[in-house]
Amino acid sequence: MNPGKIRSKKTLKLLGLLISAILIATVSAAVYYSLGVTSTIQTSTTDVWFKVGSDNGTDCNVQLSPDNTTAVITGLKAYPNASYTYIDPVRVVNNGTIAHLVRLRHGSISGTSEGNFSYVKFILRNGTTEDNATLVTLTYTWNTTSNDWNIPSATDWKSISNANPDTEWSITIETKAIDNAQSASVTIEIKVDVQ
Amino acid sequence: MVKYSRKFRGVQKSIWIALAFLLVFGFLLQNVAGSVYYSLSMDSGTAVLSPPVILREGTAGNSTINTNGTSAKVSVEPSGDFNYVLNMTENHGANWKVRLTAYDQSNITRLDNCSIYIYDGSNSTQIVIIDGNYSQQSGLWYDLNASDTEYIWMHVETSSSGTSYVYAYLEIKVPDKTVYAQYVITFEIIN
Repeated sequence: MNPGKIRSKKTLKLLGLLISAILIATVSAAVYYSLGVTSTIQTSTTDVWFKVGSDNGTDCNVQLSPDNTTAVITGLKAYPNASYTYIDPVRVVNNGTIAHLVRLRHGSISGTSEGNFSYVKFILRNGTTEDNATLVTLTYTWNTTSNDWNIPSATDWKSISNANPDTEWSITIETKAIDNAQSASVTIEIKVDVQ
Repeated sequence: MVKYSRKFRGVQKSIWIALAFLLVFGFLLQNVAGSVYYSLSMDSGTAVLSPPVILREGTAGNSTINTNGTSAKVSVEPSGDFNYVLNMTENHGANWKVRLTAYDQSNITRLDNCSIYIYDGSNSTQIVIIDGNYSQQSGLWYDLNASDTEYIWMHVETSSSGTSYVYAYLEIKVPDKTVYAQYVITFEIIN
């Protein structure tokens, strides 16, 4: 064996390992930087907020918290064997300087005689009218086998731009009760996650 | 030679430990960064109520109404006027807007004329099929005031025998809002 050859082989191995280490360290540093940016977003909770939609009033009532990060909608109705749709009860607004990602996610659910419901849907629209496309839908259906709600998974993330400050995104609500439904009620809390 | 090997082994070991640490730390940071978001919260309370409008059988053709009067199937045999096939009565003591919208169909090419109207002292043309094609798929919004009753009637002419279906929504809208119910009405034209 030639000791010189062995040394150069080992040196090459060592060099390779060092380059790998530097690369990983660089990647790790970048990831750490991203964390810092995300933390900044977390504190600026006023970038994305709720706004009362045009369907507030006669057939449902929307109450917002002072910082517009919580919405409570009361008076929603469901009818037997017929869908009932509120196109624009509440809106999501991006008032920041950058686009954000949003998604709909289940929070909590409770009610009485809920087996009288067929479904309750929450639809994020790409605008505020019926003609605007659906971005994502969070659908709660009553499962007659398990006698409980099918809880939906969180939706995909969708980008809401800040390009036009007047652009707003409605959360449409659609309900339906079963044929020959009796008196029943359900309260559903959903989360609008913002990244 | 033995000395060299030991030295390199020592260096390699420490580098491997450093690499492993950086890898684990890097993955942990990535996971944390990917899951950071804040949440807005929305509570919604929904109640099941009696329907705002109730459908009832008409005096022409044959109609089948569901338990709550919120969907119907109407059968008519051509040809002629069928006045009326259904009526609808406002049930909440409120004012609404109503219209019919065809959303699906089958075997309508044999329909020379299938016109469906809402009537309340005057006619509102809602759905029109001429020579097997829609010339009007949705009607204008028509007032249905508190406790009012309005009527749905139709005129049918066919060119051949068969069975045709027109599937329509009776849409019941809160005035000046985009809040509405949809009742399914199936129109069956046989023979």
